[in-house]
Amino acid sequence: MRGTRGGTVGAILLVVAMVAGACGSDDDSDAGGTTSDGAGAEKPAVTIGSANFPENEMLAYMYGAVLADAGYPVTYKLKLGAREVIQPALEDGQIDFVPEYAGNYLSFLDKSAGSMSVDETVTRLRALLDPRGLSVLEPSGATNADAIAVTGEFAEKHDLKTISDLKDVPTPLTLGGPPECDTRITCRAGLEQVYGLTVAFKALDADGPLTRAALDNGDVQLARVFTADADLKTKGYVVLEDDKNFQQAGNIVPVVRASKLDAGARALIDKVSAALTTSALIDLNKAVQVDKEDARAAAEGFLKDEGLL
Amino acid sequence: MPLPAPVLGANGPGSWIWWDWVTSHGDTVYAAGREHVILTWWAVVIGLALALPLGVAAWRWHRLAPLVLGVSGVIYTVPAIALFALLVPVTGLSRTTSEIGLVGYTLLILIRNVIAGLDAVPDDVRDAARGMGLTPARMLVRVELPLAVPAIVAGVRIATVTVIGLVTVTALIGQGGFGQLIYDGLLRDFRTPLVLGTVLSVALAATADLALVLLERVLTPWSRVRAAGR
Amino acid sequence: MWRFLGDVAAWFTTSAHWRGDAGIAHRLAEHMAMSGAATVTALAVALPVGLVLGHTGRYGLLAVNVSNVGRAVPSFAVLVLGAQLFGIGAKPAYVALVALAVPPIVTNSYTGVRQVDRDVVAAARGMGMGEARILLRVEMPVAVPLVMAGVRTAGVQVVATAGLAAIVAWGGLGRFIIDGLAQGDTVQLFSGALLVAAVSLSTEVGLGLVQRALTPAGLRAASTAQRRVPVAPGAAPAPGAS
Repeated sequence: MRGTRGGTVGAILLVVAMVAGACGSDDDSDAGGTTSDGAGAEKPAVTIGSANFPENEMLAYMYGAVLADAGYPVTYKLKLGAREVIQPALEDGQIDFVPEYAGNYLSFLDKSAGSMSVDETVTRLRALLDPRGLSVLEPSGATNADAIAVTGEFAEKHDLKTISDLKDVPTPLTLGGPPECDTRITCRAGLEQVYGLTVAFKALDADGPLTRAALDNGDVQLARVFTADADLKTKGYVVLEDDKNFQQAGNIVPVVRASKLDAGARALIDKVSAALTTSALIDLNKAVQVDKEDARAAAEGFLKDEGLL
Repeated sequence: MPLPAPVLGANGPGSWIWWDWVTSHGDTVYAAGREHVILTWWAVVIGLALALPLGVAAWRWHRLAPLVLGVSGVIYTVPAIALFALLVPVTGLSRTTSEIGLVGYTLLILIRNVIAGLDAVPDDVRDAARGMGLTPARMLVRVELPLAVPAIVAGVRIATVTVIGLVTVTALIGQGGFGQLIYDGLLRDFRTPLVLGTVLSVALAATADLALVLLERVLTPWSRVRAAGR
Repeated sequence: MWRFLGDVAAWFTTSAHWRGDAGIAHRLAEHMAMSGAATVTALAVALPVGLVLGHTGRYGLLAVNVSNVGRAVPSFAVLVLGAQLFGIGAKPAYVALVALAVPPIVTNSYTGVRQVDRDVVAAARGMGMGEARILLRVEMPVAVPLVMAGVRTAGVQVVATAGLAAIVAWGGLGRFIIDGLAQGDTVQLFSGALLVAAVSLSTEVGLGLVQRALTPAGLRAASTAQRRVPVAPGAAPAPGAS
């Protein structure tokens, strides 16, 4: 019957297409979200996650490249979100490794933690995370701490050098930063509690183009920036001194799943952490964010220069 | 007319289309495209696999219709980013999360069109089929569904194009397909991947739409014959 | 799960959440004002275009397919592109939303005018009516139901997509969704989603009532019979923030 021919053809097409589709989705590869590389039978597979800002993505590639080179199968799950999203993923096993920032990480896990030295921070972190099966490896000397910045003109107009100086500014203040900044003790909530400053908040991004735009056009007077930013100087921003120490140690510190990373992997990771310096970090940030180089290429370039790759 | 320099020239990072970047990032673009196609494919296939029985059931047993259409309708009004974000604590930062959300969004369109397609089958055709001794089940498979194909394909077309657009939103939970390029453009203030991701997303939608139009022609040979016979 | 829903109820009943610039009331007002402005602008731009094209019959293929193309452009991309062109905040949101609303109105206005019986138009011309009068007195009234369907589609789409505009630093109800996601505050996220969904549904229903009110009584009976017609490409609204 004529009418069934189309139906048969259609059914065949559908089955063929489904099989083709199933074959196509064999491995879990994609552009920036999830990628796999490295072979290796005995070495445990590692899934590296990153937060949704370019520096963290670059760091993920940096540690990952060294591991992949040594034969560990590495999968990347990048630009997942803020720490609020990543920590649950780390704890329930979706990712095994995140390059973290010592002080902010501690603040996040323990809201009552004040500002302290990096060594103390790491000790406290280990106490909190070892029971969860997560190991905090050696902190790097490279730091990228949170900071509050204003435009050069604003600093000059109100004679601002420290965050405390903001108390004397007559006009209402708005802080711009990523949405999670509003509730963080290392961010807006901290300004209120430590400095007694009541500032309004505007949710933008993690020191990205939205924050820069808002600061430049006066939508916000204060911006959450990171000290390893490539263009603070070139944009003429003034970083206000944290005289009451509400910001934490910004040392980069790898956090890994204890069961997944063997001694060999840890040694490699420690080597990378040791080689990284703040000025190298700033240069890398410039390459990735300003010159729009690939995070991966920039990270691997650094590793090659240091003889680690 | 030559394209203005910022489009053609290898100006650099600030231009709308930095050709050097485009040509040197074929693998990134390919990987993004692959993820986009895979996410879309499974969403539509699973959506259709669910919508067909649900649509037929809602059409056969009228009392089910408000429930089926209601639930799928409600899912439809939930903002995509919220649906994906709410699924994350349940199914993780994974493709499964994206697929559940995407499939949810196809359901209303597909179910509505299955019902409408079945409704549109002329009564005299049904009578004739019954007259020839076909049971309701056989009638459904041999007569009613094939005749409903144009409406169903129309629904698949809309659903596919819609899903292709929604896949880009999954970049905010770690997937994204071409949306990864768009997201990179947002995070780094980088125009080229932004433009590229957008253009490729639209191109994919147009291609899929065209492919489905062709598929419909294959599945309904009688419409071609009727047209030719005029 | 019940505890979660209890938390959501608590979120809504906390009066502090309703007050101030970041409060529900303000965000809701912001959201509706933006959606309304964008839809009205789109109407002002798209309606004349669609009507004239429909009347003259020119560029039909384009008019019919523009809404398909429009649906294919991801709103996520339009918002980010808008931010590149217009800076952050309300401007890119506005431009993106207008761009989103135009296609369905063009397509539906065109199709609405085209479905007027050409004989009727010929007769009107024969009676000496000018083109503009024909368009306004003969074609438009018949086209109203479809035009309104287009406005409804566009309006709902705008309200839903306005929920995504928070990613380019705008406000609106999407703020609760994006901030909830970033802060890991699922209660805020869910509440934001509920608000946007509720507002989308209300818009759909509200504009549906307007559509019925504006449809001449004679056509209303015909359109009820049409309700079971399959959703053709161009007529379906896009889901929340597509």
